[in-house]
Amino acid sequence: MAKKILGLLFLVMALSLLHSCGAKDAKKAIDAAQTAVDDAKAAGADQYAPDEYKSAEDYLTKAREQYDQRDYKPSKASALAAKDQAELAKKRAADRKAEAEKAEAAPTPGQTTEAYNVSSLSEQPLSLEEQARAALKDVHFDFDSAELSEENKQLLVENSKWLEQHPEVKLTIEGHCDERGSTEYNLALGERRAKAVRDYLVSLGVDHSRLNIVSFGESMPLLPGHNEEAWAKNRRAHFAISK
Amino acid sequence: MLKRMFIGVCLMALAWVISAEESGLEEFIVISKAPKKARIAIPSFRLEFQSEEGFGLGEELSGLLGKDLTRSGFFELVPRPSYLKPAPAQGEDEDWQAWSMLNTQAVARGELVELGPDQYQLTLKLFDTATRKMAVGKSYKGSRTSLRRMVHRFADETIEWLTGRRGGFESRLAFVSSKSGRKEIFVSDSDGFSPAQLSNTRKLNLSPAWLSGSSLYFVGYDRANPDLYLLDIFSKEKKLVSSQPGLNISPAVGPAGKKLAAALESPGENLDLYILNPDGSRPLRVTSHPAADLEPAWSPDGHYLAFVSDRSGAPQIYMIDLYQGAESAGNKPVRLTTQGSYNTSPAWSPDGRYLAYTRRVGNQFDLYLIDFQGASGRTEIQLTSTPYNEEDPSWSPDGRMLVYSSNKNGNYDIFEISIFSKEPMQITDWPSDETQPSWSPSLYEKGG
Repeated sequence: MAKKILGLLFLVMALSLLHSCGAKDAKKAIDAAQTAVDDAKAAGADQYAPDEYKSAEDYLTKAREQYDQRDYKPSKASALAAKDQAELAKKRAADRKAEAEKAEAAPTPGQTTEAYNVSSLSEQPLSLEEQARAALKDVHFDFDSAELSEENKQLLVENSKWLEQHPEVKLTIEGHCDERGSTEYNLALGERRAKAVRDYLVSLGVDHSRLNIVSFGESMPLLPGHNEEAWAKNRRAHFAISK
Repeated sequence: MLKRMFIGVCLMALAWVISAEESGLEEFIVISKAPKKARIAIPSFRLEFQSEEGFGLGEELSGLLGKDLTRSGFFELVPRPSYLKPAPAQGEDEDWQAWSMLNTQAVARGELVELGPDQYQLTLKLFDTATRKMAVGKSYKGSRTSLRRMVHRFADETIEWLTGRRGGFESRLAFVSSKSGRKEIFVSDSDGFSPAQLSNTRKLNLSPAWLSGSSLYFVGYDRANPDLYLLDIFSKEKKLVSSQPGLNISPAVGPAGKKLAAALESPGENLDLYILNPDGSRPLRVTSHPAADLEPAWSPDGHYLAFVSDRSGAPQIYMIDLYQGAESAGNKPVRLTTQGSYNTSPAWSPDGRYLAYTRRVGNQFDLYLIDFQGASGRTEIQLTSTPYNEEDPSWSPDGRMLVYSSNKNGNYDIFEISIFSKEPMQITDWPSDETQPSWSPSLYEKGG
């Protein structure tokens, strides 16, 4: 009898050991994922590969939640996914950073604007609209964000100078989003992006009454693709001359 | 002493193992088992026709009845080759024994008569093989274009006979399509049949929401600003309902169509929820928070408004008690979603039990349900789990199905899913993007 009880106890011990083993594995995976996320951030992934980075962070949060709820197996899986995403974010960030630096080092940076901003080669003097299109560059945003980066603010300073030189021009600032997420939420987000741009231009001295805003949400993408490259281009505030 | 401690530790370990096992189980909760399907036989309809098109039409309609009943998830068709019995001559009885040998619970018989030019009579009868009696019998008269609707109505009654609650197939869908190159509003039958383009502004048209079976609200950019319109689907006339500067979006129709909820922006303010009269007059502010509040969804009794807000930093779903008035220190919205970093598009089921919504999972979107009456209180149910997106859920009038948009085929199409069988079915199959579906109220109840 005593032997039987001892045997049962032994089994229980073994079981609990096995269980804590799962916990250990998950903890290890979470630590590794945290390191990977930290590494990715150090490599600038939060700026250059924001989606992948955010996804890594999300997975990591999920892994911790699952760990707290003692779902060790799913926790470990989430942690591994977080690590994968973080490594991907780090790699993409490095690539994009290099690309950006290469673009900056190009001899005529003024000429590297996006194709749709390049004015036609006609010999006629450019119309005001064409001039505006060439001068006023789109402002780009991170996923689910209407925050202006330092780079964007620089660009808006340039735009405000052009507006100062053309006091007769009235603008509509269009807020756009990438295709991901609800149509309605993206209308709100686009509105916020347009407002952020308008408010910054006003803070630089542009008259509020010259600036209209409108949100198109995700409904008028610049690029039709379904990848980060297209999405990054589509998350934008665009300037159009009001008639 | 040492031994006792040892036993204690072991017992604790055991308790821990058990509790962990139990918490793991929650992931496997299902809404309910799929109901056992009734077997129904639908032999070819009896035809009385002058012209030759009768056969094709008869097959289309009997096929449609079978399709509706299968879609409902409550019926299974007895394959025709297994009986091949022609319609009994008038007055002659069914061969009940043969039907019960085929394990058939019901037989639907149809008779289509051409009365004159574009005038038809469709008689449909449902027989219960257990009682050997007719359970439902209807005779409809109308033009050719109304024949499919007759079948949908009969399917809804057949479902009521089996379950005690009417089906919702006699209804319409509205959705946004980019077929013309720009986003325009389209409507179709509930099965996607006879689609028609309603708006043609060559500007953006979004977010249709039915007021009745014949009119709907939507967001249009006619005036270069997102404004709310009310559109009559037959006359195609539209009225401007709300056109404040900034966003006028997220129309949601309250119980019995007596109130409209929407997300509006007052000058100098951010996006908040308002409740308006159906014509847009007397907007009353419901929420007041510096974050964006949008996508309202009424509880069917009009007591609560579920909505999306990013007041926590990311979009999550909240609920406000309308009986307590507008948002205030004493009436704070309650957050409903706690998992996931991006939850949107709430839709309350007509019976009030479920709230369907879209959750971002990694880089994909899936449909989820909150079950307010789960066995262990409020429960989360994942309805879809795919490597592509499912978004924008909208309930069928009987609350058994959802329509939604999915990019399973690369572009977005409209799909439907039964919340019981969880089997998706494709409704539109166009190369363009079809999104934001909205399922109308039952046309049987509301007319039109």
